Amino acid sequence: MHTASVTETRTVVYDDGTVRGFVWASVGWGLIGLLVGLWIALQLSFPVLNFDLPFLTFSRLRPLHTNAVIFALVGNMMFAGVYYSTQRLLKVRMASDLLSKVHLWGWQLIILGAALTLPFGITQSKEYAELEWFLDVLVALVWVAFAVNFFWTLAVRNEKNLYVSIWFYISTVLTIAVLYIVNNLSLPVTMTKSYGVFAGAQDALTQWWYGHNAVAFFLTTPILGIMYYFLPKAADRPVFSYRLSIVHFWALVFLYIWAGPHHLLNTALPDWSQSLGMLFSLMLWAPSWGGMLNGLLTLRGAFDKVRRDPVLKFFVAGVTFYGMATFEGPLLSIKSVSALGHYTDWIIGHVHSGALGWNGFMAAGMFYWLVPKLFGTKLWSTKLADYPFWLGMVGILLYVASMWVSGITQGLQWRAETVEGALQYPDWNEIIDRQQIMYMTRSFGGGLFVVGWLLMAYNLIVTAMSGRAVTVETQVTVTRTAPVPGEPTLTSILVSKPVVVSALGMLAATFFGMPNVGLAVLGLVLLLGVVAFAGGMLFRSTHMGKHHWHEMIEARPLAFTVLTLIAVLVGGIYELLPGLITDKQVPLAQNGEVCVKPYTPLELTGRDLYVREGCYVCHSQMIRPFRSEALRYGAPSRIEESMYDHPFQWGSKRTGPDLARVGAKFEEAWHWDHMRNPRTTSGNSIMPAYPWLFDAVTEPALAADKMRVLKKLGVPYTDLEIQNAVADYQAQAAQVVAALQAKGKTEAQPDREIVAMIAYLRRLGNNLEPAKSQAASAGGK
Amino acid sequence: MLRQLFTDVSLFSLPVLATCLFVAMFFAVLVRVSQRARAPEYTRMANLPLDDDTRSPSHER
Repeated sequence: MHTASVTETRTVVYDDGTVRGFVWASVGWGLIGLLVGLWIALQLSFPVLNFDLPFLTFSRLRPLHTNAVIFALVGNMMFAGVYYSTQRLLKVRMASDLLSKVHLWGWQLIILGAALTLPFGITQSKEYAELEWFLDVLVALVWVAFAVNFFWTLAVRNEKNLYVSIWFYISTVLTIAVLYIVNNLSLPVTMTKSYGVFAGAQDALTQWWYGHNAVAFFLTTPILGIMYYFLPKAADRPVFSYRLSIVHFWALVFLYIWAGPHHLLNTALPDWSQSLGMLFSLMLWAPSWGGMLNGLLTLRGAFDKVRRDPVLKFFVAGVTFYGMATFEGPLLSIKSVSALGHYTDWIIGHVHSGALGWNGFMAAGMFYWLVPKLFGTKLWSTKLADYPFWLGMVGILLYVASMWVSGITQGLQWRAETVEGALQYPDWNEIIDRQQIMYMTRSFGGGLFVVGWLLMAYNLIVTAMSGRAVTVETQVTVTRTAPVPGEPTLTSILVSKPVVVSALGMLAATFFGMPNVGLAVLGLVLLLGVVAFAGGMLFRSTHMGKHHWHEMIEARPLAFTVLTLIAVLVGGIYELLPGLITDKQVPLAQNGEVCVKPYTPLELTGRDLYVREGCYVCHSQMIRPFRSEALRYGAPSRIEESMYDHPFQWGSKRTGPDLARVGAKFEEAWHWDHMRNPRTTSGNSIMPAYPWLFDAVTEPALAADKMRVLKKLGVPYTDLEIQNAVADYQAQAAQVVAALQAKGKTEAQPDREIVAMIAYLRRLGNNLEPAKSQAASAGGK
Repeated sequence: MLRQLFTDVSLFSLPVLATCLFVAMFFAVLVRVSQRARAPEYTRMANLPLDDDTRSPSHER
């Protein structure tokens, strides 16, 4: 094909001020996030460390820790890497300095907002999506500023083809926007309180579609983009296989989005959804390890450098941790393994091997490489950079190993039965006691990592002080190709052979997933045909030197973005749509009465306190269909039991026991004592005390506003119920107080938060008649 | 015959077969793309991160 082209030289001045801002923000906020993590880890050994103050309590600080590490430490690090590498790979300054500033400072404002709201109980109580509606709006606005700036930069670039790092950044910008907006759709009740539009199982599915893919597209894909840029730079050699990176990218972004339901295995979620999540999680093994190998093999012939260069040391360890975490993730997604590992500390260990090992070490490697460049100097102390590496490495290994031991022990003890068929460990505290040595080890390991981070911060600051902020000006050669008639358009790319074959493959997979053996077999045959055709096409095209299809889309950001969006959206639509369009049906008891009724005004107020305190971080509300769980907690949870729960509170961790059927288990007075000081009712419980609930006063009038909003979201409150909300509230509160006073709790008053909380806890498990009859027989505590 | 096939086949074997197929395909691609002889096709793109070092830094206040 004949093309006319013009070559010219341009001067580009990169915006590295924004990069420097994000680097320091990551180092600073990261230290705070890690310290909060250490503090709450210690609280699991010494519960008194909350000093009976609400904003220092585990359940409120744990969301602050996770949000700080994800959005502040990794988020700022990721933006630093994206801004630095995007400008160099596209050979152009970021399109808008104003939008870069809006992004930098807007993001810090969001983090400050999180730090000022989460400890004070302003939360949506959905993991990694705790920020309330007003901060969600700010996140959306800042993300839009980032997206506009990023795609604008793509449009004005001086390098025709997009390098692999840019593909990963595109997938992040697009997918995070979709995930964040959908999962945070909500209706505000007040300035600081909202209800999400989804409830129960729908909310669970949407939340873990978001939660899992926050890991995928916030903690993984952008860092892979950073790996593909900074690792070759540090090793001074190109990536091992550029073509492998193509396979890595498309396989990863397509498969990742499907795997969310592996967070909900063996729950009341429909079985098809669980199986889909499990299968796609297993498939993720392949691209994840393809990417890891591509990273590590980039160092082929240069592994001797790893001994000397702290940057490479961190990168190699980080990529290895990526391989470990992405091996363990699919393993934990197998239903039978999940049955043992879910809700236990094993998951905490898994998460931290990824967060500290992959994200933390990649961040450290990038900072050690970047800061000297940004300040036109050399790293102040290479030797001092070694200490954080070894402190971090030993710290992570202690952390992860102790959580493995603790988690597997928990899982085995929860299910252990005597020869007579009773629970071998019915006392929860006996199980927790055995974990204490592991909790201490975890805190020690985490502490080592924090010390390493501090030393790194010191080294980076002294390095920066020894140099001066650098402005990089460079000459770039730009080849402008004149438009040629007959060049592929976006439409022709979308109907090109690789895209059509991929679409046929998805169609075949859809048939394969249908609940009909004939269609499944047809789908499998079609799938085989598509795979064979695709394989043949790949081999033939490379054999004939026709490898231009991907190069062609690399040069067209719009086509690349549209294809990425399709690859990402397919999984989300397949997963979410069936659940969202299914009619809600209220189950009826044998006598024809409605089983599931909305919460009363008092119970609703109590539920919102449960949400405010973050009880979900330690207690699940989802009894799995296992004999051991039925023995310990009662009948397995059913999907309709949480159908009016905005938000769902199924939880993902059992530091304390499941509460789905706690209502019939303990009387009001027990909860009263337990919440005031858990040690008085439950031996050496590690649960914090919640004394402030006994003093704080509720606003019964607010219950009517809440019911009005929930009615708009589909909860069947009648106008009369809303009108009588305050009177109903007071009547039920009086009943709770009477029950308390009958047991000697004479100081109980109906307007206190503890009364509402007790009413909610007493309601749990009473949504279905079967639950009522079976919960009473539940043992354990 | 089809009835016999559907009766005999275990439903569980289908997803296992599909997963094996996927993994086999992936590793075939992995081997193919890793062949060193074909590396020059993408040399320019692969070297892109290494080409941005020609610069003249100046210092900010």
